[in-house]
Amino acid sequence: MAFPSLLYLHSPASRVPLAAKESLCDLGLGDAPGERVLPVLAVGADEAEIPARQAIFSLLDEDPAAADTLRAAAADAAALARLLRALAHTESAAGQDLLFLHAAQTAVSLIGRLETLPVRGALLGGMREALAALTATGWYQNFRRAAALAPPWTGEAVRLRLPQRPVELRAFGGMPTGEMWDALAAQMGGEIVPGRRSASRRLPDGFFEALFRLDEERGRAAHALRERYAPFLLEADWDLSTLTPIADEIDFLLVMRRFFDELRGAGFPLTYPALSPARELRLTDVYDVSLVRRGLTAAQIVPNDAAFSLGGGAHDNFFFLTGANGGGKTSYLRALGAAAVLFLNGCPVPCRGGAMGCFSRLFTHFPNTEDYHDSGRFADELRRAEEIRAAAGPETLAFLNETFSGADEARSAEAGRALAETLWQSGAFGVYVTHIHTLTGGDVPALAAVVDEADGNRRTYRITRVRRTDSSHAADILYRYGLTREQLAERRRTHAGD
Amino acid sequence: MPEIKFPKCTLLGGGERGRIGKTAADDLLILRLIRHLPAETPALRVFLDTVSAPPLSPEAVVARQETLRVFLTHPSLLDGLEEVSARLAQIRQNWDSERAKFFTVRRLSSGDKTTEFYNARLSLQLTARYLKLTLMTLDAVRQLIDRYHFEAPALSALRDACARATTGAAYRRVWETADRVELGILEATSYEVEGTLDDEGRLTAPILADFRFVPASPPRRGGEGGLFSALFRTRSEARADAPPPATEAAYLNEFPSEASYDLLLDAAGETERRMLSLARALLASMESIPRELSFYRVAFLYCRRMADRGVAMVFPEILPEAAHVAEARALRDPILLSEAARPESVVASDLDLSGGGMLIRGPNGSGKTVFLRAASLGVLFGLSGLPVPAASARFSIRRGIFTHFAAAEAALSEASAAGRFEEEVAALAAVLDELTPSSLLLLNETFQSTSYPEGAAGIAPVLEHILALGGNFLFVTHLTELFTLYRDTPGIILCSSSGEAADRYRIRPLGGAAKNI
Repeated sequence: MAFPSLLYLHSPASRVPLAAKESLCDLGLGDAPGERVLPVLAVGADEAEIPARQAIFSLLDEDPAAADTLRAAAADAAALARLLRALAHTESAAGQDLLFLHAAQTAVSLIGRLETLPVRGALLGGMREALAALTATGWYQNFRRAAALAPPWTGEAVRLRLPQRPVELRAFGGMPTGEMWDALAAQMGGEIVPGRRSASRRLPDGFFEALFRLDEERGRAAHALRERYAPFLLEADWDLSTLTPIADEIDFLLVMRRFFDELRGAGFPLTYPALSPARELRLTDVYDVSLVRRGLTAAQIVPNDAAFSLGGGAHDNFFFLTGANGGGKTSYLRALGAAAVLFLNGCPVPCRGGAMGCFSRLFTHFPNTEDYHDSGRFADELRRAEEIRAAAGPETLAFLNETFSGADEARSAEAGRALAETLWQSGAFGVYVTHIHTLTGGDVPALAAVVDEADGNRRTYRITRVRRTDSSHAADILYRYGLTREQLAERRRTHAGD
Repeated sequence: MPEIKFPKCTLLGGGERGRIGKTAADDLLILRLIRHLPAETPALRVFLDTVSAPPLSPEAVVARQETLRVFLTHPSLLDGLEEVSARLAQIRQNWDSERAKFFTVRRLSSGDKTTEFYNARLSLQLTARYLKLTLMTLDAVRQLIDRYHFEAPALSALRDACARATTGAAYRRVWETADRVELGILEATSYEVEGTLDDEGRLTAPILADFRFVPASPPRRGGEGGLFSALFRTRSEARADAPPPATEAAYLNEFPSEASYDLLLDAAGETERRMLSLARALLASMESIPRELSFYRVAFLYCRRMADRGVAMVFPEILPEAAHVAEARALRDPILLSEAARPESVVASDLDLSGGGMLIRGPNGSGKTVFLRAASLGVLFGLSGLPVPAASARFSIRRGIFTHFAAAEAALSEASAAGRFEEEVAALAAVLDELTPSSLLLLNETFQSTSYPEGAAGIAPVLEHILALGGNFLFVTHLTELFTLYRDTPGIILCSSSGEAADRYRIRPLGGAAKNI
């Protein structure tokens, strides 16, 4: 019997992933929450898993003790995986006894921790149900008692006299020599900073037998435990190895939680948009988390709304986005894309509220800085655009940034219009950031980054719906260098805010 | 393995440092001032770097003043410290080169495990010697400083740090262990390897706990203690001690020789790493001293040169950042003092930036730029712990000292004039990006590359921005509109240099009608 997962109700093995890792990086998620969680974010969650994961994240928000329990459980699960691997590769009977004892104690600790988690949502409910079935058995209760009674060898110091044979082994109860070096350095005025875990060496199998001879009674107890319970835990009833992937799953939950805590701590809102049966993407005050990463405060970031929908007479699913340089176009694109990825993984979303349908694929198309081999940049852009076009449909999200900027304006406009119209007509959701103003004004609706012309083309970072746009508002020299009286005053205000 | 860190010894003081603008050192001709001093180029570079980052705490500046005073009173202490610190650098260099040679030999030798272990012991022996030399040199620093009587906290702290590392029971134990390894590790035939079991039953961080030469004999039973403790007992201690408690031992007949030597190699390596990290940490704590002594050497030579030329110098009073003070009475330009045939002929002027800013105008060649330089070098050197050529001086801490000299000397064609103004704007904008409260900005003929009314209108908001930020400026300019604009502005002192022979090169505040151009 296998233990259940904390992230998936159904095996993700046969699913088409939500997004490529490169797309997640385009959206800024590779920087924060970071590369470590991208493999899970790339898979996504299905319609049943989204609320089940939301339940876990809300539990972690409300109950810090649950996060501590999960952290400790992840450490146990990682240790258990390591011990089971070592057990499979050890031939010495005494070695197997020792490893089984340590694995058994770790498994009991892990199961005990998971049992204390409150039941919230389908994923935690499934886990609790499985654990209850296990811990109710009589053999497990006896096993737990026996494992608790046997003292472990972990942390014990020994000395070996070498190289003459027979090699002498003794237990050592004094201050370990390594620690003594540290103590001497400290007495000489040094500060001891913990370093990486020191390397360890596996000794010949006979070592375990000798270790058991040092304390024969202890060795016998470990042996009896393995003889009696290994068939239950390694082979038949409850395969402990199926419990170990939980370490990576918990790591995902905790890394995401730390990221959300940082956002909340800096005064940014997070919320769980409703899972909508309609084809829509509606968000209020959504913001770009990569700006937070760059050190901007809640007061400095201008949030925007998103109102994308399809059906019921609306065809507002895909938009061009144009406007002034530095006006917030890419930030808006990133904000929407990252919000969608987080929502489709059951995470809280950086916005104040909203509702979203369930999408199954997400694509990005950003300027590629890599080599184009022999195809040229425009050809590379066309190839990547074709993949998106081929998958386009009502369950697709597409976020395109300066796509086809590797060609002259006429070719770029032609290819861009064709791609945008295909996506818009297919029912795909998303935005296409472009500087080519002639693309606006057609069937595909447009958004624009607003500047305040009455105030020296000041960037407002507001995104609004427009019919068409016709200027990039080049700034004059004084504005560029920020030396006007007003700009200097603004600089001081910013400084005071810092 | 844990990392060892000893507090960094410093003669310049730690903590946050201020900074000067990218062009300030060139604009202020610092290199011209020091390049004739009989010091090596690297030392001059260190001096330049050091004055480019003055401390942000008054205590640190005063500590530098006190250290420099001690060196001026006891030049032999500076000589001695330079000699010992050169020895410290040499130890590291020699060790690196010996290790490099050793590794070459080790790579070339065909290695069975016993040869490899012999080489590991040779390496361990080398490292033990390195540790001993390091300890000896630190002891030499302590003994040298102990010969002098003074009150300078940085030098006392250096002596105390060396004393902590080279006196006491821990030092003796480390010394004796290193000594024992150096003398005995190659002859040893039996080794005790100690380690802690991890949860997989592996031996973590195996280390040498003891070694000895044992003629063929049965294994010894018992024996407790750490770090070769049994080896360091004197005979009387050994007699006083009860016999070590007998511990049950188990014996492994099936322990392949290769496994034994692998373990011994691990243990020798760990022991060497322990010694090495201790020696390196001790040396690292001293690593900035040679460089800092270079600063004091150049400062010493600068003071000597001024004294030889009969120039009176004064250590300024240093005030906290919040005081916003920059005052000096009878301040003179150190470059002219250093180069003039008759230093006593160099004219002195008073500096007063405490209110906010000084605007200086006057005919060409009447000493405006010289005063700007004298004031800048005075503040910069004073805040770096050096004396200044003035009758008295009081400076508060500055987070930044920036210059914007409009390259008035550069010949520019008319065709490039439009671009020149933009360059000036860009350069000034870059300076403002760096500006912090309590910065000092020194401007020389800024924005004169456009029409003067436009230049004045452009620079005025910048000057007000500096004052609003809590900074100060000293601005030498021909933009006379500014003198009208700021005629009655509190905090801005309007000054003029005179072209008249009787008062030439002196900067004086304007009063009454003279303020109005």
